[in-house]
Amino acid sequence: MNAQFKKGVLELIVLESVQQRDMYGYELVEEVSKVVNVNEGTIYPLLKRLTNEHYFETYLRESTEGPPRKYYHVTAAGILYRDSLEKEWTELSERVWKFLRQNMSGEKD
Amino acid sequence: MDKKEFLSELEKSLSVLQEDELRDIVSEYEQHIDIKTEKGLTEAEAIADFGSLQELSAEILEAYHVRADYAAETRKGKKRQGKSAGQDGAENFEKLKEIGERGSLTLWGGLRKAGSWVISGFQWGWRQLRRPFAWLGCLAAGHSPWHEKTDEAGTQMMPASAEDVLTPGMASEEYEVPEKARNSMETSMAGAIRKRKEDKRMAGRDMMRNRGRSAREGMRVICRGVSRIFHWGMEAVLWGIRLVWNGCWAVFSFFAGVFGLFSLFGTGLVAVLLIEGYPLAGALIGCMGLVLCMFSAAGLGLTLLWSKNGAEPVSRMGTEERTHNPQYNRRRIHKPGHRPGFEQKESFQESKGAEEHQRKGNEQDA
Repeated sequence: MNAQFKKGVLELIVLESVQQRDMYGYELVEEVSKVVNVNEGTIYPLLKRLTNEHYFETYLRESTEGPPRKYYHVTAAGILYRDSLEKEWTELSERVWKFLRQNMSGEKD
Repeated sequence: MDKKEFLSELEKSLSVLQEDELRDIVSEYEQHIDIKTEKGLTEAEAIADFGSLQELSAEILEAYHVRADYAAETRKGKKRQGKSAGQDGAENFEKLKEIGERGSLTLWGGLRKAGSWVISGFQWGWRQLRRPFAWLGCLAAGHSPWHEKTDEAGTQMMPASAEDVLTPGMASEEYEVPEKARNSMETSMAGAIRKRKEDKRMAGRDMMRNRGRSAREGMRVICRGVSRIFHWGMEAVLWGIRLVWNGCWAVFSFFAGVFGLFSLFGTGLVAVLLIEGYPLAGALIGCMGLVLCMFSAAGLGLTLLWSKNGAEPVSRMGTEERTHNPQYNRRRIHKPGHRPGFEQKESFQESKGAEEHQRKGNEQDA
């Protein structure tokens, strides 16, 4: 997939994933990787940025497999931001899809 | 690249961030690698999934709104600073040394130039001060161009025409005499007139010469008086300067000597304490140095004392130097015709002569 596409949509995927349930870093990377093939390293900076912008908050939870893990939890601001991103994405994808469909129908005519 | 290496590189590349933030990020990546290794991957494989370290650190820094190139510049700057701490010190020292050498050379050259200017200025001023007095002195001695002018003026002021000398009526034709006698009379008359004219001219010249001489004498006296006053003034100024100079150095020498004596006392005290076992070896050496310094300073002050006419003080001269020193001899000789070292001899000869004279008188009486 195009890197620019991925970069634009990655925030929405991460926000949506964390909104479903609280996740720690590695878990989230695996979840995102199911949707888009991304570099694992890029998820952590994104998580950090969203945390710094108060869309996420973090907490530590004990793990049976090792040291305590840092879990990410979406905030109310994060939910609003996620909704706005979803709206933008929907509009953009619809327009693009509409445009592509018009062109395709024009070609068929 | 293993986990440790990766984490240390990551830490270095993110060193621009705050310590707790940096630790948080590094721990998260460490945890990620640990989970992956638990799942059967090697550390290198887990790290390879992160991609390029530079891109990764740039993305992390972007999340903090920090320019990645700024971080790189900061690292370069830190490296440069590390280098400067080790190597730039010597370079800076060399630079400072060079600057110091240049500065000292420039300063020395400037001081020398300034000194030569000051000396030449004093010399010029002295010449200018002396010039009018030298000129007046020349004038008084009669070497002035005025002398010739005065003489010429004197000559012009003399009676110039022969008719002024002739007695009125003497050249008239009423008085008749024989031709021969007349001729001889005319000759003698002309000679007498010429002689009188010459006498008058000589008398006028003598009078003018006398006048010029007396004027010159007056001028000479005035000039002598002025030059004497100037000489006395200069003597007084020099005397004042010498007094201040000598006073300063004498006071300096006195205090240096007194302080040297105190230092000597302190040295003895410290030496006694050192013998008793106190750790005062350094203090003793310092005191000894102080003693030397103080006495040297006192000696220097005494050396710089300014004796009259710039000569060396007589008290410090040897016997040979005293004998040949005119100043010393001038001080000792008060009477004209007095010869130093001959007083005893002369008195001895006088007493011897008196004894002989008395003996001769006694013989004659007998």
